[in-house]
Amino acid sequence: MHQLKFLYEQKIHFQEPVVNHHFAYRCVPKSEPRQEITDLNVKISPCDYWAFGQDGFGSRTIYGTMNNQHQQFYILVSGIAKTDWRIYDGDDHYNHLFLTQTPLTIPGISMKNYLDHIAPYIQKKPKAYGKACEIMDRIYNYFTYTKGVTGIYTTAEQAVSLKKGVCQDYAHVMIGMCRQLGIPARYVSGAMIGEGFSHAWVEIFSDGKWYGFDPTNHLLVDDLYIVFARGRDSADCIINKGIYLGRCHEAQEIKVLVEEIK
Amino acid sequence: MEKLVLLKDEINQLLARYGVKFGIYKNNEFHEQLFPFDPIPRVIEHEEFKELEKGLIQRVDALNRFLLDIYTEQQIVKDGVIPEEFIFVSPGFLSECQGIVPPQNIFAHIAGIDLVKGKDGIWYVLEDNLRVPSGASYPMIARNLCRKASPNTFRENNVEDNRNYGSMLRTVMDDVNTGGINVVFTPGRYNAAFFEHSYLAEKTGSILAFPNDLEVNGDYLYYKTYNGVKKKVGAIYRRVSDDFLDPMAFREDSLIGIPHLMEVYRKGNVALINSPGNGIADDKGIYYFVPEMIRYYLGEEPILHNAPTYLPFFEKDRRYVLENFENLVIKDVAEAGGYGVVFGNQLSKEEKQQMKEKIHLESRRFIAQEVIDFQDMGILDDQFLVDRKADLRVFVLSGKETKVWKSGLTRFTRNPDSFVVNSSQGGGFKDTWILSQ
Repeated sequence: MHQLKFLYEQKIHFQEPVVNHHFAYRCVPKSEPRQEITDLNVKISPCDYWAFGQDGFGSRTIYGTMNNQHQQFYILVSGIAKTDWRIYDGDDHYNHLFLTQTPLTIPGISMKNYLDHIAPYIQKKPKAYGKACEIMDRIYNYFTYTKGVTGIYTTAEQAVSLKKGVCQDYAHVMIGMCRQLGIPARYVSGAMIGEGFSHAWVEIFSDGKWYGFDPTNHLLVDDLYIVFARGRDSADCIINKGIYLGRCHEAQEIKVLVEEIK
Repeated sequence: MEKLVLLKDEINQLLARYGVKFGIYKNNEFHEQLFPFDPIPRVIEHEEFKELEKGLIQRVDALNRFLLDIYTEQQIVKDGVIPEEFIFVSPGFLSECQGIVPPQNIFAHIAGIDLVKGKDGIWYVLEDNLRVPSGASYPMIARNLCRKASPNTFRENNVEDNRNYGSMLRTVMDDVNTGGINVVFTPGRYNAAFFEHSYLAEKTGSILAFPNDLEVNGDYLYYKTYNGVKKKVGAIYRRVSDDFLDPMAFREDSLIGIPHLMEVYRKGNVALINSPGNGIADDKGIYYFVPEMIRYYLGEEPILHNAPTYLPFFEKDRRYVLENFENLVIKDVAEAGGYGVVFGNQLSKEEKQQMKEKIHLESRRFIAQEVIDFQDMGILDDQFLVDRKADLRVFVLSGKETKVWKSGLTRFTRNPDSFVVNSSQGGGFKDTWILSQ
């Protein structure tokens, strides 16, 4: 059991004033058995209104609108999460869906070749959990964590050819491989202990339970992770989305912080 | 009826004057076409329609149960009645709609079911249109003009009155309304069915709303009146496709959508007619399973027939399709409006080979059907009576009750060699008379 203080902050500066600005965020953890959220605090300015919502995978959203002209935008979400990794989610309701490849996870030639290459090692492991451990080991060693070579539309297949990427790419590759082997896998976005950016990892279904894997850090997910959203791939878990009328030059500053409360 | 035939040109001129048009996009250009009216009605006997009515209610009830199931429990997939391959990879399945239970559990409030009558006298369902089926206004306005032209025709023949479509639609809107006004939401003047949007708004006593007239604020949707007053909206009969409905949930580049509409809809604070996500039920691949759905959800034998259909996805069917290619019509499940339909016997040798390979590689993408030899209908081409192929779209409305509108849109092809009957392909239409005794 851990108590974590979390914070998500975004500042946008538009080069020229914009109007009809609609925004939607998935940066609000919701209470569930493995994380209990208290002291939630949301500040958004300027805005006409904002409200809590939910998406098709049950992730919590914040949505709202600022119609009048503005050049700055600010959002802050903070709170406390009590986490306990020993509590597992056993919901298999969407497993069919989490077995279906998406355009971002579907293996192409290089991913299939790579998977063929490591298949003998994976097949030695008895359960889905063991296979996922092996896949995580392989991916972690195969990839070199590199920023700036991939983008939000980079597919798992492209990332495998590049052998480089960030957490989103690690997660997509692992998900694509698990699904290829018949293991339900889902994408998780959230934050882990420390200061910096949001993070992404994977959950796989084995023996009636969902297990968290962080292939980027070669770690099993524990109490030091907070979940924002889950889905089939990163497109289901977009942390911030905005549309507005105006010239699109904007500068963004994002801060994500998770600290332990002792 | 003779009088109507004599007045054909007058009625068509009036239709043109009223703006009864059909818009077509071709090569990225928008053209408005008149939708030619043929005065000889399709006549359906009282008893025959009663049977059709029962079958249509059964079919639409099962389709609504299916949609509710798919977006909540997915029991039909878990029970192995429909393979998951036909659900989750279908572009009609929208994960954004998972977990949403719409008012009255209704997804397909307005269903346009396309049927043809075979030479064997049997009605076959060709397609279920559950997204934004259009066309009800054409028989409404044509009947209205015919009645004006020849009131006696309708006094002397026992034809069911079809002037109640507006009130039926209004009842559905009221049944599912979550508190607020009813609006008909049109993408605007350049939509293929704009005429119909404005006509139905008038007939249902609803407000015709354009994209910028509607906005979400907090947990609700509002209509902005010209003087700045906001009225809460309880039901939207939307004529904008799912893709463009909410740029925050679907296509981000949509300028005709309402940002955050899906959030408000999920909260149960507005009814969407029809519900988003219905594309999973009128997918051409899912069509194959509708008779099974009726047995599964209702425990009844299907009353209406599907056209004999094969899914190349199943090995057995694939073999049949490849062997009997010449006699079949192949449809691409992703296409609509009469596009992506090819007749096996009309392809060149190379085209055939290419098509067969495609069927092998992307078996999930196609369905194949026997070509139904459907009954010809007489239409007037200048002064001459000629035979053409025609289908029938019947409108089934679901609110607290499921009801069939005792009318319908009979569309015919003007090309004597064509079997493809679709207004997007430049056909004409007839009135449909349901006899009341």
